[in-house]
Amino acid sequence: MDEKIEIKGLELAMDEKGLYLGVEAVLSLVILVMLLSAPYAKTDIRMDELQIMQKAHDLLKVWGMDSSWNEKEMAEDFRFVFPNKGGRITIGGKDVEVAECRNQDEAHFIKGYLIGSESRLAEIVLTVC
Amino acid sequence: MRITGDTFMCLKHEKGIIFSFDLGFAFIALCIMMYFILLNADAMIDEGNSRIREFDSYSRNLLIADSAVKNYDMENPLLGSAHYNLGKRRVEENVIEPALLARVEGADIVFLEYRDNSRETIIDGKEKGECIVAERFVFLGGRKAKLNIGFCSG
Repeated sequence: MDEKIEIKGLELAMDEKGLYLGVEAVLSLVILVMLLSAPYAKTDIRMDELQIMQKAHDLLKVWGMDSSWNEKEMAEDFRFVFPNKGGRITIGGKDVEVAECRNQDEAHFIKGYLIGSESRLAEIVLTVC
Repeated sequence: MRITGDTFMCLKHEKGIIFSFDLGFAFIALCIMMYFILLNADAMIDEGNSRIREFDSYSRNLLIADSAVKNYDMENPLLGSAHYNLGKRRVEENVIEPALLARVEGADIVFLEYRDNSRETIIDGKEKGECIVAERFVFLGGRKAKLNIGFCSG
């Protein structure tokens, strides 16, 4: 039996110049990258988001005690509680700009309902950014 | 069945080169990993422990401050300084009872900041090392204020 087998595909692949990385090499590389990036992983120890949410809820509760909803007073309260942050207060769809948002991507929205004078109900949205 | 000599030699030769390069690369990567692990093992463990402790302090501080503004506790005002409205028969959240706040114990720092920039200190924790302070917006004696409750590591 005289049969010739030619492995043309394999031969062609082997002839190509370049780097050949096996599974183990790729795995090693991936683990190395993971290891190098691990110590620098960002961890929010300060729980800033939770603090922002708590203080925004405080604002809503304190405003809920006063039915007049004085916009100027509310803006002052907002600046007092969040002195280094921007944001706006939306009362029943009407925006009250408190301070310019520096980073819109990290904005927090806190929504609540307040009962004002003459039992009027209004949705209040606080944007903290 | 016959594999020609050229093909056989070619395959053997290429396989050997690829294997060596691969193994070498993986070995170098492994060495670098081991180097970093050994170099930073202590530092990483210390940093991890310190982060856990810091996280613990922050969460405890936030919980205590939250409890202080939401509850009424005559025995331990630190966990409940809110005003109890007898008429409504309920605790008024974020409305602080000045008499209870004056009796607060257990925290290292407790002070109030009013909107007119005045400040009232209840517990002064100066010279107690690094302190973590939680801040809440409250209503106290007809005035709006920021209640700060803090704990120090020193």
